[in-house]
Amino acid sequence: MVITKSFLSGSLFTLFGAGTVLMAQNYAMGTAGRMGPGYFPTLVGALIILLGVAQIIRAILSPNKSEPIAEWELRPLFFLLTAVVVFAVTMSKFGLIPAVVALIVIARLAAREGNLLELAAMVAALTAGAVLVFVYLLNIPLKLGI
Amino acid sequence: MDVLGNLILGFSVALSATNLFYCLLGVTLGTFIGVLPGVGPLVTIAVLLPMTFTLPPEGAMIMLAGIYYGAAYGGSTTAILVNLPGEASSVVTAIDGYQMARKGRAGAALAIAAIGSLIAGCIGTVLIAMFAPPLSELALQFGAPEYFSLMLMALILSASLVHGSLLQGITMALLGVVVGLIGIDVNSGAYRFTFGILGLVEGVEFSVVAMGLFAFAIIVVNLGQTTAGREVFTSSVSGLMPTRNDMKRTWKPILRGTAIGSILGILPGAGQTIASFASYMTEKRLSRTPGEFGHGAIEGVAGPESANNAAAQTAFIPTLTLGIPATPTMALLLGALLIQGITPGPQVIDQHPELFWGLIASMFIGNVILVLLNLPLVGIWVAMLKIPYRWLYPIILVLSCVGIYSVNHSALDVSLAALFGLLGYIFVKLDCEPAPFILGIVLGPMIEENLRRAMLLSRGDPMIFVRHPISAAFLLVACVVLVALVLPSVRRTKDEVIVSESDG
Repeated sequence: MVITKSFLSGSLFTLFGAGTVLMAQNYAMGTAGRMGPGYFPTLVGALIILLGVAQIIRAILSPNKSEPIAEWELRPLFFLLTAVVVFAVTMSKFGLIPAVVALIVIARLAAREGNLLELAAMVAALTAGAVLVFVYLLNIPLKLGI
Repeated sequence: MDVLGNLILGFSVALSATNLFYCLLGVTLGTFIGVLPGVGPLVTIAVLLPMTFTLPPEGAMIMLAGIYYGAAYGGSTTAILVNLPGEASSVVTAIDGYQMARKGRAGAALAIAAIGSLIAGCIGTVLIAMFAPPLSELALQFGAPEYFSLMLMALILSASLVHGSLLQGITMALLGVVVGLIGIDVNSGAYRFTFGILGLVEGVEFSVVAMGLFAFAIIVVNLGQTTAGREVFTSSVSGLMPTRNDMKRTWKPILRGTAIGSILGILPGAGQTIASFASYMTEKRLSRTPGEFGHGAIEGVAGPESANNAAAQTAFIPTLTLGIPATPTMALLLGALLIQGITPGPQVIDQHPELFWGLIASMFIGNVILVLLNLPLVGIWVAMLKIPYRWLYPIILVLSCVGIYSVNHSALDVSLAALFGLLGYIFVKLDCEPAPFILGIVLGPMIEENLRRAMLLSRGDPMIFVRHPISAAFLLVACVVLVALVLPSVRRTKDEVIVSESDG
């Protein structure tokens, strides 16, 4: 059988719902009249499982209604998310300037076009722009990092 | 005080030089970011939000209102010129607007969109000024059951209007509800779903999710696509002013769209989207040449754009009077209010009259500035569409990342945005619409809170939601929508409209 988008999303929903219900068991349940912190998440999680399973069944019964996933854009996905996380770490450890430089350079690897000169120009312009807008114009106290 | 006196108070606030400047700045920045392909109004506002945090409350709200209009109009520009609707409500604009652009009438389409928006915006603002105060009186009588049912209805409406299956839409909303529960439980003090991470105790910042889900995920998808294949009609934007014939054809659709939008906008959940679809269907049905629709009928731009804008306007009514965000965009604006130390709700009008009426007055001014700014500047926005994507996405990235960081000075927030970017990417790949998810995050905690309170009142009897008449009415609307969508004929119409949009 072909794994379609709706089969996959149904499965992910079911897993998510199951995780929610399981985790919610660590919190006090209470009663309907006096709900504890676990009551509502359990309820919602159970509903998610129910709807997820319904979607799986529908996907199996009529597989033609949904198509399989075409392709994953793994390269841009990886570099873009890495760039953002590296920005986060650099920003809090060092400061704005190195963080923005790292962000642009790594994010640039996500696209294959453009040359080094263009990259340098972009780094210079955007770093200056970020400092100008956020630190000087908006007066947000961010450390610069140099 | 009467409405007129209040409006004078509002204008005296909004027309101060500084506030006028903030409004102008907001409109300009909003259009500037909003016009970027793949950046919808939600992301535009999320990106620009931190810029308002250092302003005084009135200035911040006025600038935000400006950003809001600018972003919406920027979104329509992209929809018309590039056929890339930034959000569900401008999807309809793209159908005929893009066809007009292909025929060299992009200028007229853009101008009609602006004029329609202006008229609808002004009428919508008058409606807010008239109806928000009495509605907030009514809202003061709402108890937990009413709030619960209202929000449940909002969630179901937004879930049922996305494209794809109803089942999937509702599940997405529920996933959002669970994510919204992350953090400390106010009733018991229990830490829920925090995975032992201290930074999650306060919950997930909504703008962080929006940024990851919309900005980052969309960038990844766009980068993966080959750059060729998308026609941008930029050279043909000339003859900006609509002809006399255009005006003659469109003044009725504009007024009808405004009426439809004003009424539907008050519905929390998906007022704007339904409004623009409803207006399109109405114009198509009333038209003597329905065959023109889909091939560049100017009525198909004027009506939905007006409806969209009127709904965007009246959506402020539940947001300001009930403190319930009708759309994710409204949720961002509410968040901004909270940061300014103002808790939205029925008491805002009484406690902060200068803020409330100042905001209303600045809506007028924002609408006027929008038209004044955009008719002459449309050439610049169009030129921006020619900028290659590889230059645009780093700008969006830097603005988003520094913006998120500067809200709480938290590296965790930025990393969370990356995580939601991954999640958003998976959603895109699985054809799961993120809109109900995001509304679920916003409404989830409020739904739980009111459910608990109502059930406490009734000692565990769920019939309380049916016994309170207003609550029962909300639930009835939700049920009618659910049942209607299960009926094959209605579902087919919905699919027809929504499919034609995504292919067209």
